[in-house]
Amino acid sequence: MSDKKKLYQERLNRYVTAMDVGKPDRVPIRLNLSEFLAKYAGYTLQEIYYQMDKNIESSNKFIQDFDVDTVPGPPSLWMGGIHDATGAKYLKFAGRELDKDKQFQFLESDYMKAEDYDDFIENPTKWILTTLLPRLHTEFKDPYRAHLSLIKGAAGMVMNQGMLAEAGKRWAEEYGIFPPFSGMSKAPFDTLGDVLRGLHGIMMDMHLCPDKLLAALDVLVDHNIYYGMATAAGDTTLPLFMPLHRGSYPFLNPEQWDKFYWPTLKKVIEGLWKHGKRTLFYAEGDWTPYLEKIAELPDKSIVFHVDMTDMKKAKEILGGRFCLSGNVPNTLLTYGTPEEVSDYCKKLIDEVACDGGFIMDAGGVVQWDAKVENVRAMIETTLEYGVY
Amino acid sequence: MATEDSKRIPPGVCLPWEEKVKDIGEIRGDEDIIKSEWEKLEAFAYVYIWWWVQR
Repeated sequence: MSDKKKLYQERLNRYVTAMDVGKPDRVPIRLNLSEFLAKYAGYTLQEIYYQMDKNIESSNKFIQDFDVDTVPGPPSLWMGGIHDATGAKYLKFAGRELDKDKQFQFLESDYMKAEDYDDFIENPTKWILTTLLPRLHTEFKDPYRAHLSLIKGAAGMVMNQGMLAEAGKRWAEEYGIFPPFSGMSKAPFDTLGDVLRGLHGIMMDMHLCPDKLLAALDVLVDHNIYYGMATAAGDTTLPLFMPLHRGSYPFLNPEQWDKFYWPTLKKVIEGLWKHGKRTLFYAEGDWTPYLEKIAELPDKSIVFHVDMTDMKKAKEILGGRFCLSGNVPNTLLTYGTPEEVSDYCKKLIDEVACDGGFIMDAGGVVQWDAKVENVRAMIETTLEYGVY
Repeated sequence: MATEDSKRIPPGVCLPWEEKVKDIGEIRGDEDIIKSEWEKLEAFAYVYIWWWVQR
């Protein structure tokens, strides 16, 4: 076995042991880095949003320079070119409407109208293709351009997936590193509330058409399970990435959370777990009031990621049954000093990681503004102080 | 609360094989071969369509 294969296996075992709530040789380091990687590699955001080779290349420098167990692939999730080919109007990109080093922006709106619920419930896939995309994609303005946009969009996705697959193979062989998750999906409430109805729309729906909202959420359960397994290509070693948005306290009051958010999210997670797929419950914001409910999930079916949730309570309620991760504040990585970051990591290791079942990570996705010296302090502290 | 139609068309399917096969008519060879390839492209089309929403 080559050194890199051995390193790959060591890192993967460490990561999986922690996710199984065990105690590996040391605390694993997963860094969910995004635009930070571009800055570290010296690329503009326009370059990584538009040029997939540079997007992929920007991960290499970080992986070469730092000993971390796992980082996601390239920093940009989006391919600017595909959004131009289709005329998708809900994202603004660096170098197009924005300065070349500005973070992309999502333009939230009610792209789905309240009167669309019946058609959505009847056949959501057909509704997305025949109603949503023509609204969202300006290239649908005439049949010639619409057909072209579908060809280019699908081709762009295939080209990108091919490049990512090649890059993943190279990262494993040359650097002994693997991705922290495979596949993604969402809470049904977030599928509706993020892109389709928007926050304003879905908040009104809870009062004006709760039955239709509940029916739509119910229809989404099987779709979100399928989408997660399809985008993971069936892999069950790594967890599925599930960024959770509107369920964060206090977007919803507890009664709304119990009625509209949790039941279908729970079904999706349990459905994935029936396939052997664990979910990275990426709880952005504060989820402290809901920890007891989350504890109803099957043991080990999630990795509960802590952003601003009370870590002490998370450990008390979920610890021992679910792996915990995260909680190094992004504000600290941006505005703090290396000493402060190091102290915070030591505290997490002493108080949370002590029994195993913990993965070091920032609270949220690490953006352009994090200081390199603080990211370095986080990694070096964990490597030295996180040994069991 | 799913309706009959949304139950009838499962995730991963955009245009069910049962509808497509009516257009083809008589299949003189192995239907499973044709169906299997149809379904692979169905699954890709499905993920592409939902990619614009699942973000």
